[in-house]
Amino acid sequence: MKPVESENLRITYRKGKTVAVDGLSFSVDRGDIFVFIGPDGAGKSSTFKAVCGVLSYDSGKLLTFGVDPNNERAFEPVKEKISFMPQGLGQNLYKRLSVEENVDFFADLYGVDKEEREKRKEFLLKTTGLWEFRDRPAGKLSGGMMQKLSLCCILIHKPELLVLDEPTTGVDPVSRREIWRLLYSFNREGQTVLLSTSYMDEAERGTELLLMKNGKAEVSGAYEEVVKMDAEVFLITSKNPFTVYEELWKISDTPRLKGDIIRVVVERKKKKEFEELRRKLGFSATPVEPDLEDVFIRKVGLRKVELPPAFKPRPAVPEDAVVVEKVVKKFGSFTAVDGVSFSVKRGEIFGLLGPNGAGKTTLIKTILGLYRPTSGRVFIAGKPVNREVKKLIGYMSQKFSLYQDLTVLENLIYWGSVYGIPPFRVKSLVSKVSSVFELDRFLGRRVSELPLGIKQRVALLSALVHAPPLLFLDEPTSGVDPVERDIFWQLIRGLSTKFGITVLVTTHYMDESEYCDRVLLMNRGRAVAIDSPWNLKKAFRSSYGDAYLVYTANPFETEEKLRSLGFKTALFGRKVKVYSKEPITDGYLRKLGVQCIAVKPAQITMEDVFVYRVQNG
Amino acid sequence: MVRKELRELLRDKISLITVLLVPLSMMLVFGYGLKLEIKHVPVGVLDFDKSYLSREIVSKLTSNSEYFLVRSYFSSIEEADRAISSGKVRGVLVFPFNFEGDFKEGNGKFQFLIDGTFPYRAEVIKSYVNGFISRENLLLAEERGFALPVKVKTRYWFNESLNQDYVVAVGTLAVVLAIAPAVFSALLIVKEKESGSIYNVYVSSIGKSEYLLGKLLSGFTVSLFNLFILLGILVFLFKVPVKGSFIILIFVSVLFILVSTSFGLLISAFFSSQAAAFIGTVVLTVVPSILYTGYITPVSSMDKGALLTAHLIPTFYYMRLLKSIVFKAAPLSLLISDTLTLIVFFLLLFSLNHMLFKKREK
Repeated sequence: MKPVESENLRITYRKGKTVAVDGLSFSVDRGDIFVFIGPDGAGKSSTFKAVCGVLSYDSGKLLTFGVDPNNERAFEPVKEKISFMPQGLGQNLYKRLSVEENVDFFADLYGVDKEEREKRKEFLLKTTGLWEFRDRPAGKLSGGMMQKLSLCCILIHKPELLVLDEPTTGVDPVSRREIWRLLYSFNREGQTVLLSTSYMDEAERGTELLLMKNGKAEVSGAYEEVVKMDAEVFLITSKNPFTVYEELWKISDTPRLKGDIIRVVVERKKKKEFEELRRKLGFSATPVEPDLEDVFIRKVGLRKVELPPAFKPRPAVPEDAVVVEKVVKKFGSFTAVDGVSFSVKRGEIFGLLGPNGAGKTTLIKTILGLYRPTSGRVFIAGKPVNREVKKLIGYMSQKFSLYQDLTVLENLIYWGSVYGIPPFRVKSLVSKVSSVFELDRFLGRRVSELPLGIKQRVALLSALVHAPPLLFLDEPTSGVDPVERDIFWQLIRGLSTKFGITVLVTTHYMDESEYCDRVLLMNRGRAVAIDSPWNLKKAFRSSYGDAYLVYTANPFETEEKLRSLGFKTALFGRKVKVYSKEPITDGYLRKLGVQCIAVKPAQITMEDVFVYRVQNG
Repeated sequence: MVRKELRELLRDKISLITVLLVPLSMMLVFGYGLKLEIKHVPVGVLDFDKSYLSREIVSKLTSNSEYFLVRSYFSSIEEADRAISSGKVRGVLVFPFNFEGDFKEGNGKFQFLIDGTFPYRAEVIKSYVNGFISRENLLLAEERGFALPVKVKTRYWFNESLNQDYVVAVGTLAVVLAIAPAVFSALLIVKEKESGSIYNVYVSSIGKSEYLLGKLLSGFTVSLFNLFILLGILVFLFKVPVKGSFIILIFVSVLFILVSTSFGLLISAFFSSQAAAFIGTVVLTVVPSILYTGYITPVSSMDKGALLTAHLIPTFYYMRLLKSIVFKAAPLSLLISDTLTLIVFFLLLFSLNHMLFKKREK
């Protein structure tokens, strides 16, 4: 009997008006780590809730341990075998109870007897490193610790199936790796894990994946199967990346310009033209393993965006557009930003990268003058922040400052009038750019009816109506799919290169940072590193070497062995990621006594960079 | 379950204060602030007669009671009119020319102008004056040697001194106990819905009745504590003399708390945010408890529709029980039917809860 089986599952809300899941079929085998990947609103949460019998589905077939969850009475005993962790940091915890009391409550809820409870509690809290914090109220833990406690709580009754809705979203990369390690160790004991994530780079960590979009499965299968394609993926570096980028569109609809690096999928039949282009333009192309984003983008296809000359910012800003000097921001005894300094050059795309609670939003609000820094100074366009300076800034907030009940055009006119731009000027701007932003069809529609990706572009445009030379974006792309995301970044890139607009952007998506010229890595209020993503990876490579994935039957033992040999490692599903300056082959590893099936080169990710920067201070 | 709730509550200082302070302050504000009695009404006198009789009436009306207070004497209608309009006086006694002469002919008439901006107050003032006049008439009639066929001698039973404050205090207790436990328990479940921790319960195999009983008991425990504080205020601060048995009083109050707690739980089935649940519960408990239970308007003066509504509201029965116990020391046999009604209400509400609480989202 499979833990979960689903055929043509359909879930709707508001009496069928909103379709969350639209004909989804999948099956989870015992011992799987099954990963659902997809942007916000793809239907992941709804599917999980239906699997746990918390939400009724409309039609199709769904069986959890062979029982239909819609059958309330019959499903009640099945709940003993399941644990569900809802989306959001520590959502299922009781914030005022201590760590230990939370675990005890869950034990009571599932009727775990006292002796068993004490034994298991100690084991769980010790493996997660929460034992020493057991008297602390859950509300006072960091995001990563809360998620670990949530896991302990739902593991107290030894469920057979763990259903985890985005357990790692917004968690710092170090805690994220710990959470995965914990999951692997339970999986090793035979527990099945069903998990969702909005991070593409977590796809590889499961044994099985399903990429979801608009309630449907785009692709599914084992990671290695899914990313197998009869096309090649290249990373391209060149002295003129923009020219190369423009030319590549002629042979492919997949080029992505990330910083100075271009990533592109080249089909077999286009290989010849690609080689010609390479000779003509003289760029260097390194073949890389395709990843899930490549697969998705190749399937859907990107669109090229060309900005019309409509955003020429009125006042020019000096070379040092934004200067932050030793800024400290304290809230009571809590230090949210701890002595951060950096400067952003005119026309640069600068990323603030870090997990939830790292201090990104506090920092951006301090720069904007919404908070007064406890100490340190901020200069925008060479001046301290005041009312006049604020007019130079376009700000797009985390939740998009749009009025849901107004139409797109009404929103834009409203934001224009806030900055003293008369409606006719806004309308003439909109008529010039609406086709580029792909908003033509939506101008008369209410914002509340729009999909997330469209809302995001409306929010961007509303931050741009007064032609500011500086643009601040707070988590602009959370929850949109890679295609929408690329369109968004093409717009940002255009604003920066064509009009010299300076862009400051925050994000907790590690891979997103690759679109930035430079990034500041933040953790717990401190700056961990500041450089271009490319240089950060290069620095990582020169200290730890290249990355390899070791395929093995016993990942835990393999990892332990590798560690004992002095390698830096990380667990990736049933694979082990190893960093080594010497080239590694399977033969070489076997000679060292490491069990392995195969070794493949892997990519160094921003997460790798982040983890080692944080751990090595 | 109960232990967890109470522990959480004790940790949360703000909630704790709210839970204990709100009923307390309601009790004090309503108990002290809501005066249904009208005393010391400022009146003016416009005496065109200036006779012995007119002065006699004025002095009898004012010196002898706490109801009226003479503020000013006017010399013209305009002056009196201005004083009423400006709210300086609430009524004006107008004695026409030759009032005493007419009176002697058996045709004495004087006018009483009442400020009608607040009808309830106007009514009460009118009844005071009427009562006064008829009493005087009776006395006069006897003086003149008429034998009266029926003599009325009024004595207020049960609340001998007719202390309106006692009635208000007891009524407030009922209203507060209708509102506070309901609001508190409504938030108990909705709070979990809002934070997402409700999924723990949805996904666990804990029974519905077990969960609901847990919530009921934790809401009940807190309210029980409140009950004792409120009873303390009633007896020691408002000094309401309780004639009936304290044990019965506490028993019916406990029963009533159970009813309003389960009502609150029931409400939480329909809301998913704390703000909405709070407003919903307040509206659904405050309005009926105040309007339809005899707290302000006597039940006997309601029309049929209102009377029917009143019988659907548990507070109505509890109010009746309370008044019977506190003021009348009514024997058990008279209390049994209202008590049973409350029990039925509780069972009904709790089974509705059980029916409506679904361990899933839709």
